[in-house]
Amino acid sequence: MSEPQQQQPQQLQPPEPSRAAGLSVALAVVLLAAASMLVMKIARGGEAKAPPPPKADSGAPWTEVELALMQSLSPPPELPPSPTNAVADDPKAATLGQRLFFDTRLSGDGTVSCASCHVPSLYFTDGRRFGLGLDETGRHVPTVIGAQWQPFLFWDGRADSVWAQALGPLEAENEHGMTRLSVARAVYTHHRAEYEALFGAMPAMGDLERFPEEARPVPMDSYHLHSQRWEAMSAADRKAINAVFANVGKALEAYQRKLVPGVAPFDRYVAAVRGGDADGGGHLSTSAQRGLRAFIGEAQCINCHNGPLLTDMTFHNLGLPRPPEAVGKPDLGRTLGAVEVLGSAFNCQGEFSDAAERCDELTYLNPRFEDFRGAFKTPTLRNVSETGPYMHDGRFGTLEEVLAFYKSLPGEPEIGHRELVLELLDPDVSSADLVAFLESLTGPLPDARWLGPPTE
Amino acid sequence: MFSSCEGSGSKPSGEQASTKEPAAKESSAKEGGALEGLSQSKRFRVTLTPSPDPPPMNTIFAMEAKVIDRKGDAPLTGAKVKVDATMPAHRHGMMTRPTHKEVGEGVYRSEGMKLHMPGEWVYRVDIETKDGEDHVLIPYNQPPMNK
Repeated sequence: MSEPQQQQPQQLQPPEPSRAAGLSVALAVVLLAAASMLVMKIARGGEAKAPPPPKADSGAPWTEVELALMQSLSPPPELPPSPTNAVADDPKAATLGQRLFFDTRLSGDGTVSCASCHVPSLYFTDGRRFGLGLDETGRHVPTVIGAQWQPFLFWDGRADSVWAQALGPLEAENEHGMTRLSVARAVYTHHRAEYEALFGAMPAMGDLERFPEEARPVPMDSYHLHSQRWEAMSAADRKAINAVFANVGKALEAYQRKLVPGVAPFDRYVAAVRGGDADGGGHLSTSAQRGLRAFIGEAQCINCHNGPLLTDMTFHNLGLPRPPEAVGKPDLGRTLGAVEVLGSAFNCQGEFSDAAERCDELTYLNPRFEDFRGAFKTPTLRNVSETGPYMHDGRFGTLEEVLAFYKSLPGEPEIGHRELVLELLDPDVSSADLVAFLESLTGPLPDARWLGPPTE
Repeated sequence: MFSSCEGSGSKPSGEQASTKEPAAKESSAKEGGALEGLSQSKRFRVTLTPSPDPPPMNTIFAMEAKVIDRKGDAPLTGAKVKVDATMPAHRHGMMTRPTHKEVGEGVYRSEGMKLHMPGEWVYRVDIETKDGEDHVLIPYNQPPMNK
């Protein structure tokens, strides 16, 4: 079996390294400080010490502050370590994870795999408003490209690693509809050799007295048949199954680490500009350049969509009004997600974590943060033109609709309150320009060998 | 309370922030360097040093507070010192709950700080001694990017 090499984002180098190197550390500090002052003054509408940026339609050369901001968004970052997953970078784990990702046998009726919602050709989303597994979910399917950098997964951050995230849908009744016992049994039946080569001997799954067909802990429902069967198992056997379940997640993460964002036209533009080419190699249209200027300037998009993944990876309440067709209770978002991740048996501090060091994000998480109510994670904007519809509930079908929302901020939020500093997007800012810029953030799909089940 | 303390309205914390923070006119935020301020009673001078410095946006960091008791011009020891941060315009604090401990020689360390958004933050240093409570407010602008 060939061992696939770990894929890293293509690194862009400016065509004139000597000129790029000329941007000294001291100058960079000055630029960052100036940018900080400028952007923050803009954000609060106060008096700016630095000169204001040119209007988006001015066609003026980039200012030093704009260049510093622009460069903070590119290129795609290098893959971070995954300290809670000992097999994260094991090629055999990636292959097993790839096989599991596309395996519909990991579902209650044999029709649903991870790839059913995370469709490779759709940048690992599904194009639908709500995810559809065995039944429809209540949230839009986020892409998994770029997930590796996220300290918290899901729209509400209820998992703190990609491997822990992967376990949620497997047991969700409206997604895969499995239980950790049936997952372990499917692995035992179909992937045992690969699994044991990585993680050692599996439990004696043939013993149905010890390991029933279906069992799992069911939160808030101790009378559920799955829950009763789970509780009837010995503590040692429950732990053994939990370990298998966690290992399935770790293999799935090893595969998903291959799904990194590719270099987009925006990155090529920034690299060219950084290298001294004022035209940016022609990689952005004039409209997209105007959109970029607005994005990092007067539109203030960069306040939340910052860093090279164009997300702050944290949680905000945009004040989305309750949809007319909504039924049931409002989605509390991060308020519940923060509590869930702290209580998860599969978090960084849990016994199935391989973390040798501290779990700072979890240790210091404040679940009572006042603005978690109705807050959802800022999505990455890389490949955003290919990952619609938009928002946690997929309510906006197009990027134009998203921008129209920011230009009107209609209604009252369904729960909690809208970010207090979220101001109306100036109607004079061209939505077409912003969309042109956002479209420039789309890079190629990951390498073709990762877009389907392994061939060997 | 210290006799010259003017009172400061509500006390922000990670759970309860206030928009009524008084302006920290006697404090300063030095870009890329130390953050300094006088307490409300003017008895204590506090110098903050984040680690790493400056703190990367949306990343856990630690903050050391060096506290000088101007009455005797000596490092303050044996006190309870806590560093917190709020965004008054947003009416919220941090998404984290830092821990606090005395390091020695007037230095107190708070771990688990995180500035999750760019914008205008205010560091609040609460100082509790046998004589009472005091605090320092030090503004800080978090840029929307890291070095």
